[in-house]
This record gives sequence, structure tokens and C-alpha cells, in this order.
Amino acid sequence: MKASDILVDVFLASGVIAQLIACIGVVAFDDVFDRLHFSGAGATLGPLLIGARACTRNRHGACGAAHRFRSGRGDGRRTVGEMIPLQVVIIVLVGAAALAVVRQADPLRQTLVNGFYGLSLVVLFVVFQAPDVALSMIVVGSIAYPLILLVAIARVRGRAEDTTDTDKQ
Amino acid sequence: MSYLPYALAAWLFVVGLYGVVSSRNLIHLAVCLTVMQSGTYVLLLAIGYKNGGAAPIFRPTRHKAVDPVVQALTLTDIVVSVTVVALILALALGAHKESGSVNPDEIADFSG
Amino acid sequence: MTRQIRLGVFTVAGCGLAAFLLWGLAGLPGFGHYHWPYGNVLNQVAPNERHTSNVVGAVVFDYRGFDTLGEEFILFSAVVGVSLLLRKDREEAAPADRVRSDPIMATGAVAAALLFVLGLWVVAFGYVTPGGGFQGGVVLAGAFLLVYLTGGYREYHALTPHSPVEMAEAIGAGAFAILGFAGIAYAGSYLGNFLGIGDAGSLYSGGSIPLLNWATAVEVCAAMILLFSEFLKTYVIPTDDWRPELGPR
Repeated sequence: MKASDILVDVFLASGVIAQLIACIGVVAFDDVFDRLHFSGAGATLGPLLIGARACTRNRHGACGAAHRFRSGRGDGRRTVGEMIPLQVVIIVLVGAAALAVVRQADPLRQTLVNGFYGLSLVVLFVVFQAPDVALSMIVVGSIAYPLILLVAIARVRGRAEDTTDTDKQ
Repeated sequence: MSYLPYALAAWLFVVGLYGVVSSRNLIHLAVCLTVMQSGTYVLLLAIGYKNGGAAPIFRPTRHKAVDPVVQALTLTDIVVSVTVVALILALALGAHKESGSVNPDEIADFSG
Repeated sequence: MTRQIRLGVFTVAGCGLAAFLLWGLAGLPGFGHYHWPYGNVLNQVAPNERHTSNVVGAVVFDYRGFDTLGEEFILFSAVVGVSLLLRKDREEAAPADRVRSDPIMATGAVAAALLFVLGLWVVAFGYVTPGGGFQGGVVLAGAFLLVYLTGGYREYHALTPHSPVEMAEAIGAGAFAILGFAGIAYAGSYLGNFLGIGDAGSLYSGGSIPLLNWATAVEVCAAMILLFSEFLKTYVIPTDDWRPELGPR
């Protein structure tokens, strides 16, 4: 076993563990801002480590990675019907996350869930071999959506509190 | 199994529509609309996917690649979706200012 | 219409819609069995014809450049719409929020600079590796946003004065359209590629694709900054000594 093989396993294991901790953290903490720490780590640390694993494993760089996923051939990868298992898993995850976004009635919490949904879409796009689209979803999901949603929510809540105050008076 | 991605696209569209119809908050509604719209991303990319194809980036090798056209469409689609959400939120803030509510039902009562 | 009736109607209509969607989608070839010519032709032709290694970039800024032109103006008009809708919404006041921690401000300044460089990089290599004017433009706007998050609205406003940003947005959108006319003059068709195609894999490749790419980056970045500014202005509350519209007194 070469050193790079060990490195591959270490990157993958630490990436998955980091992602798991981030998920647990998001569930375990009550406060939105505490949770944001974990969703931020989940959006950066885990993907970075897993990406580092992919880079170590594939000397050809990002384009080469796809060659290994040729269906049913290549280095003995199993397929589910015509699809690789990763695609099936991500598709189910995106479907479940979409339901979670729609069912979360509180907009502030929904913004968080929507961030997770965006992240799962990013993974889906990568698995569908669309890095450009994934990049565009990353920037939109991590910069644009949160800002405009949070400002709108803050604005509405601020006014709502104003009106309740006046009602009390 | 090979129709699962299409089923996901249909699922996202219908679930998003359910969110839009049942929403009690215009901000929530805007996010549900983005879920609906993401159904189109999944559909486009699923149509362009090719078994064993890689990303359409050719350097230094030539290889079997997925369709770049649908990816370009999806790319602009995503950026446009932000502006759509921004417009809807601006309208929602305006409605909130006029009627003091972001609940579509209450706003309807207010205007009627 | 009450909520119950509406949900009832939706249940019927939603089931019908889902059935029709699934019926229509079942007519497509199975996932992965791609056999349409357009994508295959472009994958064969684009790397030789334009010397761009990222074919998606070539499609966005060259082969389907006309779509991107329309998309740019969607962005442009949407931002105008948001400005109009939120413009009358300014008079109410909210607490001015300022970051007072020096370490956060220092880290933020460094991170914003790094993010800005990252954005430039994503734009510059858009037709060589994944990236381009759209994604890079949003990243660039994100760098300015980081100044707001780790500094304050005053710093953000000083960095993104309204009229120059509006001008940049108009210039970005206009440059795209004008480059299209340059295509008529030099290549015989609107948005035709009129420059030398350069060396594959380098920044000098793709002919007029880099120009359109940068025009898009300017347009998207400025449009996003304007969007953020309009929303932030409804949130950041003018104080006695400082108002977003007027600047420091």
C-alpha cells in the first residue's frame, strides 16, 4: 500500500466524519447562529477534504475522475441498473431535502434547510458531470439566497414586533 | 431505475408547487418556488447526461463527454432564479408594508 | 377561496399534473442514453474551432451567445424592478449594526480581498476550467458583501457607491450587446467570433469569448451588488448622523 493510498483513506474518512459532525451539530443546537457554524463547516470542511481525496486519487485532475465512473466497466465499479450508486443516493437525498424545505413553515429555519438543499443539489450536479452548474449553485446558494432571504425575514419580523408593541400600548 | 432522475425532476416540481399552494408566508412561498425551479435544472442535466461521460472540459485529452448545451442553459437558469426570488421578496415586502402581513390569505382579505 | 378548498383543488390538480409529467417524462430515452446530435457535435467541434477547453464556456459566450444576451437583460431589468419596488421603502428606521471586534474586522478585510481575487480567478479562467462571468461575478459581489458582514454598512456603502455601480451594470450589459455588433462588422453575424482563437488551454484562447466573459462578469457583479444594496438599505436603518442615501453629513 503506497503512501498516497493511505492519504486517500485518511482524507475520505476525515471528510465524512467532519460532515457527520456538522450534521449532528445542526440538529443538536437550538440557536440559529450556533447552527450556522455547523452548516458553514458542513459546506466547506467536508467537501474540501473529500475533494482533496479526489485530487490525490486522480492524478489527471478533475476531468480524469469521471473516467473511473464508466458504467459497469473500468475498475470493477458496480452499477444499479444503468446508474452508479452515488447517483441514486444523491437523487434520493435531494428529493428528501426538497420535501424538508417545503414542509418547514418558519422562513428563518427554512433558509437553513434551503442551504442544505442547495448543497445537496451541488453534489447532484457534480455527479451529473456539470461542474460549471455546480459552481453557479454554490455561489448562488451560499451568497445570494441567504442574504436576500435573511434581510426580507428581518424586515418583516422587525415590523411585526413594531406592530405588536403598538398594540400593547 | 434509469428513469429515477426524471422522477426526481417531477417530484421537485410537484413538491414545490404544493409548497406554493399551501404556503402561509410569502417568503416561504418564494423559497418553494426555487424548489419548483430546481426541478428544471435536474431535468435538463438528466437529459444531457451520458453513461460513462465526463464533464465537457477537454484538456489535454479528448473523451466521451456529457451535453454542454443543457449545462449552459442550467447555468443561466440558476442566476436568473436569484433575480426572480429577489423580485418576489421585494413584492412581498411591499405587500407587508401595505397590509401588515406576509400571509397570502390575510393579504387577500385585506384587499377584498 | 378557503384554504381547505384550495388544498382540495390542488390535490386533484397536483395528482393530474404529476401523472402528466411522469407520462411525458417516460417518453424520454432512459437516463444516460443520450443520442441528440447538438451536444455531441459541439463537443467534437468546439475545442478545435474555438480553442476553449471548457465547452460550456464556449456555448454560453459563443454558440448560444444570443441566449446569454437575453439573460443579461433579464438580470438588468430584474434589478431595475427590485430598485423600483424597494425604493419607496426607506423611511422607516432600524438599528444600525456595526461590527466592533477588531480581529473580526481584520480577518474580514483579508478574507474579502482573498475572495475578490478568487472571483477574478473564477472569471478569468471561465473558458479554460469550470467557472466564468456568471459564477465569478457573484463571487466578486460576495467579496463586497463580506465587507458589510465583517465591517459595517458604512464601509460597504463607501466601497459600492450607487451611481458608479449602476453605471458598471449598464456598461457590462451594453458591452455585451456592442460586442455583438462588432461581430457583425468583423465576422458577418451578430455575436460572431471576430478575434484570433489563440492557444488552447491558455487565457489567450476562444477569440471574443474572453471579452464577452468579462462583460458578463461586470454586469453580474454590479447587478448582484445593486440587489444586495437595495435589500440592505431596507434593513440598515439610517441614523441621525448618517444616511445611506446621503452619506456622512
